[in-house]
Amino acid sequence: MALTSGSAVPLSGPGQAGHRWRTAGIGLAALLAVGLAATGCTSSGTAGGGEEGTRTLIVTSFGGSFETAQKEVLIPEFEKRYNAKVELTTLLSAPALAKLKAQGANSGFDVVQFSGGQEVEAGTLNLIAPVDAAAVPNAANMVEQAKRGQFAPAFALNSTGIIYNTEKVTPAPTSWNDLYDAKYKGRVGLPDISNTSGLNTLYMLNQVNGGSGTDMKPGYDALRRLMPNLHSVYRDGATMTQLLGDGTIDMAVFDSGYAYLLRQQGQKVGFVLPEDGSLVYGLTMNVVAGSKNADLAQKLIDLALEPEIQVAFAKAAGYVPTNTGATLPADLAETLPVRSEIERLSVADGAVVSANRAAWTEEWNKIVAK
Amino acid sequence: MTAGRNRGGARRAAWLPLAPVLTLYAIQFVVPMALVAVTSFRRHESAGEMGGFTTDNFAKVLQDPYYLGMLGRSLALAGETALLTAVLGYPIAYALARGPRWLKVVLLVVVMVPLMTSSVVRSFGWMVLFARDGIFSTLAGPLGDGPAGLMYTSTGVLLATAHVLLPFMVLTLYGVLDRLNPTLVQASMNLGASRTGTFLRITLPLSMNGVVAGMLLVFATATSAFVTPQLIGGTRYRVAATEIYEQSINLLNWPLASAMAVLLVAVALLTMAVYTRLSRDSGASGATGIIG
Repeated sequence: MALTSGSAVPLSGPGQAGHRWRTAGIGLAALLAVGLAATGCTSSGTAGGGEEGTRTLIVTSFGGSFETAQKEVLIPEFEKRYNAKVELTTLLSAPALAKLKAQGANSGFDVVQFSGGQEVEAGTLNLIAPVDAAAVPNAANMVEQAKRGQFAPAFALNSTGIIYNTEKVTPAPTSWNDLYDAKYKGRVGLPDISNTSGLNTLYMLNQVNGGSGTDMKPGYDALRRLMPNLHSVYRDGATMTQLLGDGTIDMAVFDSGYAYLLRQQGQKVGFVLPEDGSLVYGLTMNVVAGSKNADLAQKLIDLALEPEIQVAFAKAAGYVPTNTGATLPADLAETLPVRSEIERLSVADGAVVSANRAAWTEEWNKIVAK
Repeated sequence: MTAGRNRGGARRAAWLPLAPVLTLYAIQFVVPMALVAVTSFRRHESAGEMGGFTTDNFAKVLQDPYYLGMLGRSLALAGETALLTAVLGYPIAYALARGPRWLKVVLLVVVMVPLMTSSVVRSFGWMVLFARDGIFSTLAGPLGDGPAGLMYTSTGVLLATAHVLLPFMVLTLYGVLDRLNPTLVQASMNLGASRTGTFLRITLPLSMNGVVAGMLLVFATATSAFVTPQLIGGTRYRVAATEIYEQSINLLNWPLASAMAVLLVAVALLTMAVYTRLSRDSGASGATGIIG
């Protein structure tokens, strides 16, 4: 297209100005389409037909390695066992909640996945439905940190810590304060507050410096003090991987799952959960209130809670299982932050977070903006 | 009488083929924008919850230095982009209009390629060049001296935005320059003017309409640029378009996002009004075929 139009233009006479504009128009349309796709605002596909009797479940997923792992470990088994089809739509937690709020069951989703505690807010607003204990028997065997009351428990745990370049950062960091070391001026990366890890970073910087959920000033001050060491604030794991991978930064705050993946890829990185504390958070699958496939959705959730699936998912994506019956093989237990280590971590207060997210974000943005 | 009625009928018939696209336009643009306009006057209760009507959102955007600064930054970026594309685009358009045919082909392909490339891929390319040790950051000297080179800086966003919008400028100018009556230039030379003198006193003044039109077009497009600032500016160099996304998607503050959107659209509409006016007024000059 590009070449055809491009070479045609010089030959065209004065009367063909419209042709040039058409070319520009097509390019512009393509640009817009790409732009929309890049924002992650992809609309949900409608339930595909499939043969008679096969039902389709529309599920949001986070893309990247997480989605790949679900496609390998969870989806094929589900489709086989229940003769159903799963259609994954890439949508991060915050946009997924936004879409549910705007459209409810009309969003077309049957199951939404959250990683930032959004299920608390979604539950309060009745956007997700409680699960039936009989339909999700595995929910009875969950570790404490995974429980969500009447809603579906978390199917995996993730934690926020420091990923560091083992060749450049010696000794290994042990505390949040190590991010401030003058040696790493301009070589530290933080996740954006729109990402759960970023929110956790602010939460922890605040807690370590004596703040509380109602008094965030110590956290803001701590963030301000960190600015000289800060290289960038990334929105996603892919950008973090790139910056850490090509040696642009030496330390990055992010989650244990990504640290595991980087090590799987052979990168020389270590991961530490700071000894002054950090946060653990659950990845949840939730039945969208009003979904016509709620029964099938609960079966998918139950499968994700099954010990064997959880171990396979841990191996593929680096998240810690939540089923007390899931035993990790020795080699995995070494590279994943083990459950005993995670148990000392606290869980962010979901109600406080959802009530203050906007205010925290505004202040965070003002601090990190140039 | 009869003739008048016929003309009216013909006019109605001429609208008919436009009906599908106008319907689509109404559904895809007019109705959503009306909803956004209404939302901008709603009160933000909590994330995703809206109350009664208020003008607080506009007050916040126009009074809080943070949001006001963001709007200012968007407009400044758009203005700088317009200027930069004019400076870079003029020689290219000139070469397109006057150069040999092979050069036209080469230039057009080079200029058009950014439009045909995915904005994500293009931005990733810039990210490599803008990195701390990237070639652009090195060349930019003190401008690219931050810990992240030209990434997350106004210079970086400006260069990348100008890159993608350059075709709009070049095509607009090309249309104008291509249509300039060559005998005017010949006459000027025959009367003893130098090449430079002819350019400065004949070609440039006659093409100023194109320059202004191109700049307005680029300005209006740049105010709403999203992907490039999102990727190159990142979280640390924010413009109005990225903030609207943040407010509406991450924070669910739809009224505030709508107020910012309404203000941006107002600026774009104003720009386009001036643009249309200019191209109509200059219709007689014969230089605006591509614009009018």
